[in-house]
Amino acid sequence: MEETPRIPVDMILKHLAEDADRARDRATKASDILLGPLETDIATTPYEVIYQEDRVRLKHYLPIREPSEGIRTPLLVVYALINRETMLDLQPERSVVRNFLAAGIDLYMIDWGYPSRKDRYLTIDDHVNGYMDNIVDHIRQRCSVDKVNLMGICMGGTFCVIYSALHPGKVKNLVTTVCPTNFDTDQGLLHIWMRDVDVDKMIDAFGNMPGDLMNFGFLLLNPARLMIDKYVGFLENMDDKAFVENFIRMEKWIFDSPDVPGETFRQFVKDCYQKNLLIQSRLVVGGKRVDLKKLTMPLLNIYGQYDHLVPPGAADKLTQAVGSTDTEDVCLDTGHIGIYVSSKTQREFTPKILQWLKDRDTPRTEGTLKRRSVRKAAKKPSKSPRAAGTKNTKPPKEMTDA
Amino acid sequence: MEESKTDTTVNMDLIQSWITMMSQLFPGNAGGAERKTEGDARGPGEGHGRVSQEALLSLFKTWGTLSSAMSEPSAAGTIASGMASLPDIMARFFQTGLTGFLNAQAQFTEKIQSMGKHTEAYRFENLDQNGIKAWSEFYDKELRQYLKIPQLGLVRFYQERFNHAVDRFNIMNAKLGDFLQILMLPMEKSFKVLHEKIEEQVRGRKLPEDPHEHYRLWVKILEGHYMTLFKSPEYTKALAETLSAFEEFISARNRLLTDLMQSLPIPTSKDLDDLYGELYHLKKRVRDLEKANSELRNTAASGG
Repeated sequence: MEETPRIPVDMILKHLAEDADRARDRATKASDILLGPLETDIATTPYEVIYQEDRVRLKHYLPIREPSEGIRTPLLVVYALINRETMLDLQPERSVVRNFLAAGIDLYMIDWGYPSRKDRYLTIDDHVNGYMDNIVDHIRQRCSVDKVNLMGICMGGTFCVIYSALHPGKVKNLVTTVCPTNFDTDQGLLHIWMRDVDVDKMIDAFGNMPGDLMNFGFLLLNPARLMIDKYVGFLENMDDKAFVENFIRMEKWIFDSPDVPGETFRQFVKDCYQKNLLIQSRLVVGGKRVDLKKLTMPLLNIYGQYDHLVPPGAADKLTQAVGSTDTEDVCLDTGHIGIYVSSKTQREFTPKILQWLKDRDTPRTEGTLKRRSVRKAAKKPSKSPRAAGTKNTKPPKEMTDA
Repeated sequence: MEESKTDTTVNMDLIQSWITMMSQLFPGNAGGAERKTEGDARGPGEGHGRVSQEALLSLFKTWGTLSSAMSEPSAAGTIASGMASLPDIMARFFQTGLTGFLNAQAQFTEKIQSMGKHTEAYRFENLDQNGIKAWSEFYDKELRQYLKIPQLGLVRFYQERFNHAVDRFNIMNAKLGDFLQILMLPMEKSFKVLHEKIEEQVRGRKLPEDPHEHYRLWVKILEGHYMTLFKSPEYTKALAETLSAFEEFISARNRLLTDLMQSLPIPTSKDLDDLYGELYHLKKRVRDLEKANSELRNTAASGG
């Protein structure tokens, strides 16, 4: 006769007792850690500001080694207007900036600053054909080069795509990361919600789009993870100094949200999220149509399989729409922020960009040029449990970070 | 009848003597007053008080003229008969006022009594769900009308803007309440599902040894519920309505603040926005001109 399994009440009670002991120990240790000195500074890599126009600054990172033999063209990184570029330099061990510098890249980054009420009238045209173009010209002049390498992040990637299509003669290679270009997708909640947003009323009321309001919206994308589980995780690990320091760094970055200039936000929502004009080459910026077929430089497009802000469906159409014959899609097994900060992805992300740039920056022969003119097939994303339809699977750790 | 006539005579005598006394109290007649005014006006050191003094004298003159006119026997008779009917007039006036007041009170009482008739009574088993809805309906149908009463007079625009801001604040709170209620639904559901899962585990005697398993299970269930909710049209609608109510309140509040700020010697947001707008366009024009100028110079330098 088969024995009925018994409920392990004794084990459950034992675990509860152990938990209570651990919690007590943790609280004691945590108080020492939280009351003691903590290293929570972000963006500590040294840089100099070499150009400033209104609130916008251009950072030039001080090299930490001799310039790369392979990549001589300066790289300009354009971050989004949402949150801050400090995310690329959260801590020395997890810093895209340091990785680039370690590879000998001459690195520049735009700091969009904190828009105030006086910036409410600035449009996408002012950012792309104004600030960005002036900065690119400044770097070209300073480095005595005709073209720069451009790397765009999220909305900054969208700006880079627009810029590269309007000024193809100034961009040597384009790298887009988690960059939304196709907004007609149901994969991301943001794309669904934005359809019903009355952006005119919003901007008329607020002037600029408040950063805190946007952050609240981002938290609502996954409240279970971002508002509950994340902090439960903190409580469970608050006796680990390194964990606490990293957690606070991330909190510092995530809630450092500048407002977005009102007219830019209005145009971005209306023309991109609601009308999806960019991918159809119908977007008009500064009176000129953004024809993606004029984007002819090599293009590397990287996105995250678990990105809940810019899902694969919003990012993977770009390479098909541009005029370039040298394009590559790379889908990494991570989320929107994890792509830059997860230690696992760091082993793939920066080396991939460096190698890709190196391949296109070295003096070329006719043969290599021809070989590169073949469109590379996008790396097939690994089939995730979620993509396969399995419900309620735990997302990777980076997503909780995001 | 006889008594009434005697009363009228007594009244008439009384009034006539009072009017005569009053007209004698003021010097001379209208002409006398005028002469005195002219003499005073010519006096030195009276410049700054002249206007108010003239106004006062003019009032006395008017009274003097009226007193003289009323002291005529025929006029005094008319006044006396008017005085006789005064209690009637007062009574009518008072009655009208009282009736109006009572009517208003009755109407108000009726309104108070009817409050809640439009809204469904609480069902206590769903108190938390119905509470916000009941309040929204109550506010919309019963209270809101008072904020919509047309305002009159010099300050009507300010009062209207104040009422509008209060109205928008109440609507925003109602919408926010609705929205938060929707947001809490997955919480409630997830606890229910978790309970069912635990019951299943107990029945199958598969209760996990580690209590954290239950937390992990709950978070997974909660996440699933939220994802389903967030994609639903009901949620999208509630989100859009809440945002809209919030934006309308902010706009109404800004207009109210502008009114308040206008009385202070500092610029309002609107003033600054106008100024920023002008600056923005001017800077843009300067940049365009600089660009055009630079292109012209380059062309000239290249000999084109």
